[in-house]
Amino acid sequence: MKKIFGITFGGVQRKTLRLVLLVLLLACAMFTGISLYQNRQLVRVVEDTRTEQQTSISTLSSQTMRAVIDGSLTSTTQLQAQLADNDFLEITRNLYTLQSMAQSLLEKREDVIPQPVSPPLASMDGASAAYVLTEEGVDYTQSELLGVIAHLSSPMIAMHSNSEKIDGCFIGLEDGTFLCVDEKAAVKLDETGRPLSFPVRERPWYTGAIEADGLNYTDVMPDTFSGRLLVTCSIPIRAGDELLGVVGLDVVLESMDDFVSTSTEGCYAYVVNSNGRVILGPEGGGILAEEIDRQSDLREDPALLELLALAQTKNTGLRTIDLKGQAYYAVGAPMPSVGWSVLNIVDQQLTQQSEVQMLADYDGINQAATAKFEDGVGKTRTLGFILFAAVLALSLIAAYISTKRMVKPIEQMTKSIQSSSVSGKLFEMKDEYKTNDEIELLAEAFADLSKKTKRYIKEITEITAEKERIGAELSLATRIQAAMLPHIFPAFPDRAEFDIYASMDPAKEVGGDFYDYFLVDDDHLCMVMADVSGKGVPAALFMMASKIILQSCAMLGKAPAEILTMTNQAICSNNQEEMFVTVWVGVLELSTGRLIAANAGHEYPVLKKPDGSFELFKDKHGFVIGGMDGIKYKEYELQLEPGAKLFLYTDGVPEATDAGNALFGTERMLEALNSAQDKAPLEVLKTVRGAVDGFVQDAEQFDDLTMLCLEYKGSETRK
Amino acid sequence: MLNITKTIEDGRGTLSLEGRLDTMTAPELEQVVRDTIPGLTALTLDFAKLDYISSAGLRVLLSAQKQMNKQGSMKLTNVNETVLEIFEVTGFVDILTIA
Repeated sequence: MKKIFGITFGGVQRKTLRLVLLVLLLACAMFTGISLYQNRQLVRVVEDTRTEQQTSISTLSSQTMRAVIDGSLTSTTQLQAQLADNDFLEITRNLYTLQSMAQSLLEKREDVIPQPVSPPLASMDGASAAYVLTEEGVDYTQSELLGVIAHLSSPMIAMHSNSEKIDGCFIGLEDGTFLCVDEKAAVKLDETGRPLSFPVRERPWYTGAIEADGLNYTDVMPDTFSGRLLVTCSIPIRAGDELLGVVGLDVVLESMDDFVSTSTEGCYAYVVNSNGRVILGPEGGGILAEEIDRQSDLREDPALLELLALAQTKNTGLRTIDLKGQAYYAVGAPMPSVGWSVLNIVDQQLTQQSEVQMLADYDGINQAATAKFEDGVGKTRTLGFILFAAVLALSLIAAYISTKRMVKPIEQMTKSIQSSSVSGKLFEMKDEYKTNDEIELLAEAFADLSKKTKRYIKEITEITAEKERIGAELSLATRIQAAMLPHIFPAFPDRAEFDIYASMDPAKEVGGDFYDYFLVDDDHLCMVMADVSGKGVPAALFMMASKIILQSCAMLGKAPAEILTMTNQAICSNNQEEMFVTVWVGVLELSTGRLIAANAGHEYPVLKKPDGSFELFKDKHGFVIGGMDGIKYKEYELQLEPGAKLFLYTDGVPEATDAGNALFGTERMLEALNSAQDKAPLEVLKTVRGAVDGFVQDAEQFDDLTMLCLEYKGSETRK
Repeated sequence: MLNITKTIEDGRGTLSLEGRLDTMTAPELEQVVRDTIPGLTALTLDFAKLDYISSAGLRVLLSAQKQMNKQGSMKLTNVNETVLEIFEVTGFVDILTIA
């Protein structure tokens, strides 16, 4: 028993509780393990799914975006390029027309009557008008060429007024004169109304065309007078090999400017000329601001080189290029008539914004869901722990109560058994032990055992008492038997004629041997040596009867043969158990030394003549007493001389056995007798006894040991 | 120690004894004789290997002889000198048939 928190726990309870605790802990560990595993799996699945979905969204989105951009940007660029090119196509056609007209006029100038031209007038302003300007110090009236060219004034005015895109139409000549058609005559005059000088042959469009020896476009630049964005296209006029001048048209770029300026942050449109320089770009320059500022060749950038090279001839389609470390979509389309290209560049990040936003939104939703899930898991875990604790506590209490209930009958049984062992009361079956299980069986077994033990103790007590009683009775019987035999020595202190000594040592408490001697009358001593078949109480009882009958018969003064015959008759009449007794009986006439004896199956007597040694006397034998009815016994007569000795014994002497089952035998007996042949009967018996003990040593005394020795001293002594 | 070998044939029984027939072993022979004797017309006791016989053994022989006298005959065979001497001393030679 063990006390914990004041509650007593028995061994069975402790073991059961331990078992319950173990099972619960194992179950809990298992469930925790499984739930943790599941949790982890779930988190992994969510994570994987998230990644997959994001990848999928991202891929799908970028593919979609690319498709959309590809479609729109490519076509837009194409359209822009075509529209712009159309304008230039028309203008170029006009320019060529004008050039050929000028060439044909100049080739036959001798035949052409010069047409007058005037310098610009303030009144000309606001409508298409032709006027002349000159380089510093040149007199246009001296020019041979100008008057010829002036014939083109009308077609030039028509050209100018018919096209919104043509801001001005002019022809510069090698002699420093300049025929111009536009609506801005007033700005060519100084404050005094005199025309400003115009360095015609230094203008870029003039030098550019000569240098190109063909169609040339200048850079885009604001108009000298109006500030509008203009580009001048020009072409030289030759008569044969002789350069005579340059025809030029100022083209308003407003329409192109429209789509270029539609550029927004991250989405830029450019017009690039054949030299790789940006002609038009968004305000601020956009992504290519630096290149525009430096007026550098875009083809220096290898990414753009390829694109621009391709864009010279055809629509490039949507391409992805790397600019300044960032990815851009780019589409280029050619403007064949001018050799330019339209370039649209779109920041991929811009196109990916929706995707990024979508991913972010999706991620947000995902994270919210994960957070909710984790929150839920946490709550479930907490709830699980609380539940487990509750289940544990309840289980332990339940186990405690159930084991208590289970163990209670056992405890009561233990108490009951302990108290019954003290009080000696019977352990009884009670209702509380009837649990319908092993406890009931145990209780039944205890009750049974208790009853049996009580009965057994009672029996043992009785048997012990009986044994003690028998022992006491036997010890009393031993004394009675011993007392029945003559046992006071010297037996006849007043008789000098003889000395007699006898002893009986029964193998058990009582024996079947006996000796007897008594004076039948003053002159006759009767001696008896007998051995009842068997040993112990039956032999002793038979011996008592035999002794009394023998003595009674002898006391009648009968002769030994008759004594035996009478005794046999008496015993046989009442002998159911086939018991018998061997008897030697002799009557010694003390006065004469005449001994008359009869032997009923007893051992041979041993005689010693006065001057001789002890010797067996092989007398006549009759059958044992009690064996057969109606036996007649014979007697014989011996003459004892004074000094003669007679030794009688039972078979216990010669048949004493040592540990090796060897018999003592008559030889050893005679030897022992002769070693003490001259001694008194007491000494003779002691010597024989000593010899037997020395022979037998530690072996158990097997038979009764009975001896008698008579020494006849003669009647003379008495007289 | 006493070993008893029993053979019965046509109402004729033979008991061969080996060892000592004394107070301790006599009851064994008595029991065997009591079980064997009913219905026997002849009983032979073979004493060839019997070393010793005590008065208790003599009693069993007497009892058996008396019983066999009523229903047939009993004889002893191969009696050795020691045992024969005991028979002579006790006068049993007069009532037993010793072959």
